[in-house]
Amino acid sequence: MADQPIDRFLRGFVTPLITGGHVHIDGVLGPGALDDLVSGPKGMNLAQADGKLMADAVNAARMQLARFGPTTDFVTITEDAIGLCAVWHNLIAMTHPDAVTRTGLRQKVREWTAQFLEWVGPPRTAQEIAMRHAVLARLEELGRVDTDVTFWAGSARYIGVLPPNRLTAWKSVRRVNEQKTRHDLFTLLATLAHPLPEFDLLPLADHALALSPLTDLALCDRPDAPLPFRWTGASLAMLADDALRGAAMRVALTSEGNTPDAIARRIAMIDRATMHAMAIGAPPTAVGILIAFHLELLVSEALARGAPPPGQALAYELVARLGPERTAHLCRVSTQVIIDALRLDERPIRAQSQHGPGGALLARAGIAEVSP
Amino acid sequence: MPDARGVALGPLGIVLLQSAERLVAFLRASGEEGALDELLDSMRILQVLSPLRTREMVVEVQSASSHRMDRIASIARLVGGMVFTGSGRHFVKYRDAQAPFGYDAGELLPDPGDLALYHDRFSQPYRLERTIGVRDLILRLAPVHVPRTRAETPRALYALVRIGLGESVVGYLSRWNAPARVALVEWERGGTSTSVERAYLLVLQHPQPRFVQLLKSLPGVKVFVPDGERTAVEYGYRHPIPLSSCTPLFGAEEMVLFRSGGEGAVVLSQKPPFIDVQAVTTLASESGQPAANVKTKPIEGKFHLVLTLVPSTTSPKRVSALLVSAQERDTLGRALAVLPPTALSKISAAFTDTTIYLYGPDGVQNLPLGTLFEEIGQNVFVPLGMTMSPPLPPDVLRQIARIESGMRVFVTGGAYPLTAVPESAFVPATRLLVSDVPVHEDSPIAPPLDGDRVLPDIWPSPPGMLAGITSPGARGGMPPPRDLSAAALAQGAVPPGLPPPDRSGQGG
Repeated sequence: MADQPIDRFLRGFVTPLITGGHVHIDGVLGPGALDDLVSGPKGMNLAQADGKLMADAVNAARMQLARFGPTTDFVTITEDAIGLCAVWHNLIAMTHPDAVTRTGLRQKVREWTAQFLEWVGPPRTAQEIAMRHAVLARLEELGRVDTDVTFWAGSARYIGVLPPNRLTAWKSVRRVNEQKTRHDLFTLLATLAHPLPEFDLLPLADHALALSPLTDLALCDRPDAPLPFRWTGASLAMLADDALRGAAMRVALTSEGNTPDAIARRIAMIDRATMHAMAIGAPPTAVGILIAFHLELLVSEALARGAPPPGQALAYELVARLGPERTAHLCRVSTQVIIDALRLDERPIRAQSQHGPGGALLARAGIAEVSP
Repeated sequence: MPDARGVALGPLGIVLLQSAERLVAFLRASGEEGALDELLDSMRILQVLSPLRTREMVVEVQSASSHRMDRIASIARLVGGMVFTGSGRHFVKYRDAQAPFGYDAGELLPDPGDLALYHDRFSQPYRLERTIGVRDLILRLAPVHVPRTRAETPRALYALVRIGLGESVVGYLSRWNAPARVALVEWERGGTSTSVERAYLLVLQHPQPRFVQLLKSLPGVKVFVPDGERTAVEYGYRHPIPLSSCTPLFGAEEMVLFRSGGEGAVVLSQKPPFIDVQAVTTLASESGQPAANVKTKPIEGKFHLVLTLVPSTTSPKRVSALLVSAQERDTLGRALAVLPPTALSKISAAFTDTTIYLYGPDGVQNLPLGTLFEEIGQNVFVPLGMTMSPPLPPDVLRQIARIESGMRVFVTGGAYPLTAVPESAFVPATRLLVSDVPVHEDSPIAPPLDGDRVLPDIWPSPPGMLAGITSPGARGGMPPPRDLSAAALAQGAVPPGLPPPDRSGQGG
């Protein structure tokens, strides 16, 4: 059977994105290409992709997802995940230096990618949330290695690809020097920004992140400049699901090296997103979910470390205002667990100020504080 | 008068007990502690009357030393008795923790009676009512019931069988070749009756449990278990006082059987002469006239039949074992590796030079090779669908072949029809699958989980000059909208009622 577009896309983009290796970006994809990926050119659907390629991709995604605990299981990469991959394919393609200055192409790709995003839509089930993150979990690690080659007669730059062997042969005789530079994803995405809105692709990347809430949360400590982390309806819906909240907690408490300071920085970003949600008038249900999530983050990290963790200022304030019993009730654990984990019997927590942000959160959620 | 340790000690020691029950408790505790047999030679039990006419019991012993008195005192205090020491009629309280060197009487009672006791809280005279013999007391006590869980199968057993049952019981034991001996015993009923009772007394050494159960269940038969050298207590009961400590109280030739149910003890003045039951069994033929002119011939020891395997006429039972040739070892290993864990855990295997023996009821039948065996009993296995000819019972086969217990016997036919493999040679099959598992001892500081993961690197091609027109799908249309049916959302729908995922969080 001839190689189908979905087979090429799985082999060249989706599977390497999950497992590592060369993530092939071959130009940009138009609307018809997405149709070919999910519907097939001759009425074939996604289920008729090459079995081995699909199995490889699914196994890699399943292993990736297993890092975040039991969430859900799947037997195929779903069409919404493929659609989201197509969005990122196009956005990354537009970070190529040859594409950055081409406003016509940017306008076209902006139009197409917006259509893709609309077609993908927000996740509607827990399985979709998990599936999307299983595919995009390593988005942060994505990078482009540019190679600058200088030799006796001149120099050349190779964007992402390796220089040809003929250029680097006889290094000492031809005085060949190779300089490799790896650009991380957010450095590349910064090139999508444009002062004119019709050419600006950065909001599309922001929207694409929001459509995969677990990935969005996993990248909460990303640089603010292009895409700051904010809570969305999809991510709040994710926290309302028990299995996904567990995965979200592991995602939030996982950082490079797992040092207390690195995790404290991540939690600070989540605190800030929570305060932003308050500022734009999040409904009481959403605030209640966020309060419970912050408390669970604090208790989980304290239990994991065997000591009260640093940072987590918002959660500590919430504990001070709620007291151990109500904290335990919201976290669905026993009071003694809270006391032992946070060592409240040795070091009681007191609210720093009567007008701290925790009070406003509790008031919005309709949760009464304990009297001091 | 103080002894070598300075303890005030008279030649006699007495224990004052408030009731006969406490007296029995004292004697039992002394027997269990091992002190009773050394006290018996000098022990006297007195029943005394206080001035208030209450009856109390006094145990009088030779004090000998303060060590001995200390032991007696600790046992007496345990059962609520009071201990005194002295001589003649006057006895003072024996030492306790409050007065380590003992007590003395400040003033003698003007009328000491037969016995005057001087306690630190009272002084009281007593009048001797009567002396109770220790032996009489022990004979009068009724055995108490032992819970069934504590009753064990005895090593020897006496059975008192009424005369009418004697012949049947003795004949039964003789037929079963039981190691039993029998005697005829007589004893006076006692009390006001002068009649003499007669019965058969059987003694069985190491009786099989079925004999014990049978004799126990027969009306008219009372079963006794030896307790001490000269006494036996009815099975399922024990005497309140350990009889093994009371041996000196009974004559060297005497034998006493303690019956339950208030029937009193049977005292036989002489140990009866026991005769083997085989010797007394009647061997008379029931067939009238004996056959005449029978020519006898010496009995040949054996028939010299050959043990062979023949097809069985009964349907096979359960597969319990499997014999696989050693040449198929690799195939067997691969077959074991794909068994479900529950089946594999039930299989054990033993290896010989030529054969691999697998044992596992409910486990080995899943293996698709080798010869299946079923167990016919007592660890004897025959090939499935076969039976032995001649049809020997498993126990007889083991006896004839002189195979010890702890061996599994496989009837394989041929020149050596039996193969015995020790049970200890069988090891769980789960331990045989992998010979050696190399273990890597990780360093205490583990490298990051993703340390060796390949990074995803973008491998881009630049968009062509006419990418907006020539890109794949540039001219095509979008796929049809995604399926939003309820069935598609059936799995794990996110809760409704929350805002859609846009960055403002305000909907839209």
